[in-house]
Amino acid sequence: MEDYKKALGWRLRWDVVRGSLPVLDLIGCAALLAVFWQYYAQARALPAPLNQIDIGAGGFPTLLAVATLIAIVAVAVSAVVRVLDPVPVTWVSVRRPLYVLATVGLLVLQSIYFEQLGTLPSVLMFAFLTMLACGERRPLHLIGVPFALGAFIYVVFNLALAVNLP
Amino acid sequence: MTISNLKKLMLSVSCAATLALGLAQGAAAEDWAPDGPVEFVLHTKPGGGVDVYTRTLAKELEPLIGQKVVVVNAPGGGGATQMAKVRAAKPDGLTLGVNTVTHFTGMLTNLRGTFSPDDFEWIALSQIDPILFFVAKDSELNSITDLVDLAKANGGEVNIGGFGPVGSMQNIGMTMLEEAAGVKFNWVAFESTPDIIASVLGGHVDIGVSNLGPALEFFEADRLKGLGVLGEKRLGTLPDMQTFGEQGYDVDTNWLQVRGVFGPKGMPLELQQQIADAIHKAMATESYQTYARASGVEDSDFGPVEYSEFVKNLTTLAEQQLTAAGLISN
Amino acid sequence: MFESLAIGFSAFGDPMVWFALVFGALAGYLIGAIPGLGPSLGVALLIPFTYGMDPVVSIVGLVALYAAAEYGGAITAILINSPGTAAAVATSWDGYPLTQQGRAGEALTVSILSSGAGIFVSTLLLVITAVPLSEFALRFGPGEYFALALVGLSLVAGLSDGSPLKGTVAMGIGLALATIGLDVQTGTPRFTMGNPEFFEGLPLVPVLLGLYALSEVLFMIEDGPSEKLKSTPIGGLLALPVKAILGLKTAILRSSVLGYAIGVIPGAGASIASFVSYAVSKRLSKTPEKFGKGSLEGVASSEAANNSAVAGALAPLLALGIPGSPTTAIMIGALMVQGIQPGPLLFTKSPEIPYTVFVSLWIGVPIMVLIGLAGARIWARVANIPRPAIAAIVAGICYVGAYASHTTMFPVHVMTAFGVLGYILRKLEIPLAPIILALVLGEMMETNFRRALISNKGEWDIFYTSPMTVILILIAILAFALPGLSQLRARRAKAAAL
Repeated sequence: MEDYKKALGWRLRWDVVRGSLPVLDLIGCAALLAVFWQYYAQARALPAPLNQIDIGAGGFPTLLAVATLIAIVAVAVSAVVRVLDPVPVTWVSVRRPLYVLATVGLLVLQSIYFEQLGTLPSVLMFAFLTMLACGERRPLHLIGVPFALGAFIYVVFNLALAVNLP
Repeated sequence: MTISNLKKLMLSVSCAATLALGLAQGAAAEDWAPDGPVEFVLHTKPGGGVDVYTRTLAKELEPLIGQKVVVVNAPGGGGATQMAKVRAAKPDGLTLGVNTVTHFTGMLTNLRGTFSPDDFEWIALSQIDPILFFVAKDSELNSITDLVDLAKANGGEVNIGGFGPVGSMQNIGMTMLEEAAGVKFNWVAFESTPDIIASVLGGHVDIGVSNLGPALEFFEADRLKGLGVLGEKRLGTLPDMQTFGEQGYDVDTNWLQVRGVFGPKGMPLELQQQIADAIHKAMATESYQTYARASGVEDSDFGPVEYSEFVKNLTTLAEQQLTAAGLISN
Repeated sequence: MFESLAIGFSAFGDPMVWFALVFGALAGYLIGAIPGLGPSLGVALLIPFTYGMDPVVSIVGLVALYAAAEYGGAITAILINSPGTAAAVATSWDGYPLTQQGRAGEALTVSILSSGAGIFVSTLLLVITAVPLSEFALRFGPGEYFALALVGLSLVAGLSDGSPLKGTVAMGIGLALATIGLDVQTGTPRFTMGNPEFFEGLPLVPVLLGLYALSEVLFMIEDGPSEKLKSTPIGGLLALPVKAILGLKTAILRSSVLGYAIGVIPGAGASIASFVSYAVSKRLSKTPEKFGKGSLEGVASSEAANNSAVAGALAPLLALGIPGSPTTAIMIGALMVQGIQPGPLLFTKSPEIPYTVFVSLWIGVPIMVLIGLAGARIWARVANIPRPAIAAIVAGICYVGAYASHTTMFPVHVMTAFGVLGYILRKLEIPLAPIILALVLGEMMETNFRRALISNKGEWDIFYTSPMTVILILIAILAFALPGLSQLRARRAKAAAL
């Protein structure tokens, strides 16, 4: 295994994904530009106010969109400068990328099925899977922690606070 | 007679009246006896005025119907989350919702096409709460007439602070006065009534609009001065404040803030009547009366028939006003 | 005044009042520590229990819960970098680095002591100044509120280290998020994608949970089960507290006063108080370079301020009946059920309420500190729990907490989306604090800007004719400009050296 903190260079492997920050910045800027352009278009389309002295629903968002678009372009320009600069760039790595992706999937699934499954079953199941994704392999831990968590949630939310949980 | 004495008197009178009413109705029809816990779905977060109302009512309702009453807060979407829950429920009386005028203006504007008053049964009207206009104690204005004169002199440069955006319940109340008096005012929107009161006290807006409850203490402390109330008759607690009508402005006095109970479409009228009776009976209890008098609202005994009629009128009125304001088109 | 305070003390002859105080403090401590449940939800959940009680007993319980819950947010902020409230965000900036250095126990001890000191000092201020200061706060009009929001934003712009450009972009993201929902003045839906669930705007707590807590879970997944943290045990029960307090007394005192003053202004509140106090402490500190890397001074400033803001928020409530924070707005509901409508006559009509609140805040301090110090010993061990278990526990509680905050699925969806977004933003080194602060302040800024113009015939002079507005705007401009200028100077010096 290599030392991730100091390692350099592009990687796309099962145990690590790595890229240089300025290049990733450019990708991020492109995404943000698209989002804020959309925001700007929607802000412009908002109806004018009935009250003449109000700047209207779209006034502040339009101003904000323009300012943020300028800032995004500035970040992009500074990223380009850094790519061209001979000074070494910062590297960003994502370790265990498959597990991270799997956990993102778990979070999304949980947000979709939380209500249908009911609180306790979904807490038990997803706690188990999250621990598995985080690399826990000891069976006692894998079973004990979700049950302890479920019991805690039941006591605090259902019994003590009387929240209506599904 | 001081205000607080009067308040006590009012309390005992309305207590007795509602009590008699509740008993009479209770004897006439069969009592509501749900076969499971009843859910009251709210469109607000815990802690607000609607929440306090429902929880106070629920506590008194439980012993009457012999079942648990669960208050479910489902805020979001200007009532959309709550209305969706109620609409999807079985019309067995076990799932009910609490509504205000916002529900009706919402169904005409942002939620138009998503929900309509015909999707629900309007079961009982519980509280009515007229809006009133007020100024700081040291203001030169003393009546609605003064306000109208000032607006005429200034060409509409009078700031009126009230709850909600253009097209909200209180804003429509202001436009109705504008029409009656033939003037224009400048609406400044706020998101909470205490903010409105603070702004009037600090001199940041000229006039404030609110229901009686949150402003009551400020009248008693002689910090605020009432200009007029949009209602059929004067308020029992502030008998010196004239109505709009008394001051010569013909404004529809049905434009009131309300708190009522509604349910999913298709509920038998008999069941609706039983629910309404139980609610009005719970309102006659002492602890509910203490709360209701402290919060300055007035009780209503409208059952399903009267309330549905009331809702129809209110919706028509709101539609006219919103169309006139250019906020909706037919 | 002393006679009236005696009324307050006499209430404590009733054992029920003591019970309410201890129960409120314990409940608040736990509720605050659970991500998703903050002081306002805690108070709202407790209200039904107070219905049958005496008004004095119930208000003591609620105030104790409010104060303790405002502290409880610090625990998760320090231990797992997941502030449960916006007011604890600044605590996490130094608290979490301390945990990573194995000093979680120390950070927790300092946080509870500063909170206690903050409440003690601010209650003293509350007793003396509640009425005059609340009357003064009425003079805050829309122009002043707009300027105050600008000050908050500008101070944080100066705080985020790393690229100031990325900080600006982050602020833009936060302000844009704050505009989602129905427009306050016109009622027009904005950026709601046609979905009514967005009408009331993005709920703050789920956004906070997503950006901080869920993204932290993803970082834990990356780290895997290896590299266990070892936290150093705390010494004797009194050894650390005394030393810590003595060293931090100026920062704590200053932040308490600042926190109280900001808390009095209705609509400002604990989060702005803690951000501003943190920024001021950093600027005045002898060791500003330590801020953000594990400075006890940073933890103390943020915590003293957000707890002082509790007393601050109570001032306009008790003096005028105008709530200073969302939590105090909910308390009005609790008092109303008891037949008490808070207003300008509260001090004359029912003096037992305000004076019992004052006294209970004081008596509550040692109780809260004891609970906190004992708790710190237990909590510090959280750092020793294996990472996979922490990841599962944090994620599980976040989901239930987000659901409980509205009892609908919408906040759960929001939290999940912001969890993934937060992870990406952190990887790209875009700071999260400006996003949160802009989200908190954005609406206050836009609403008051437009309210100022509308109530002033559309004339802009409202922003430069009031002395208070002018002073606040000048502070904002300075706070924006100073970090940029000093950075520029540093770069020039570097260039000259080369």
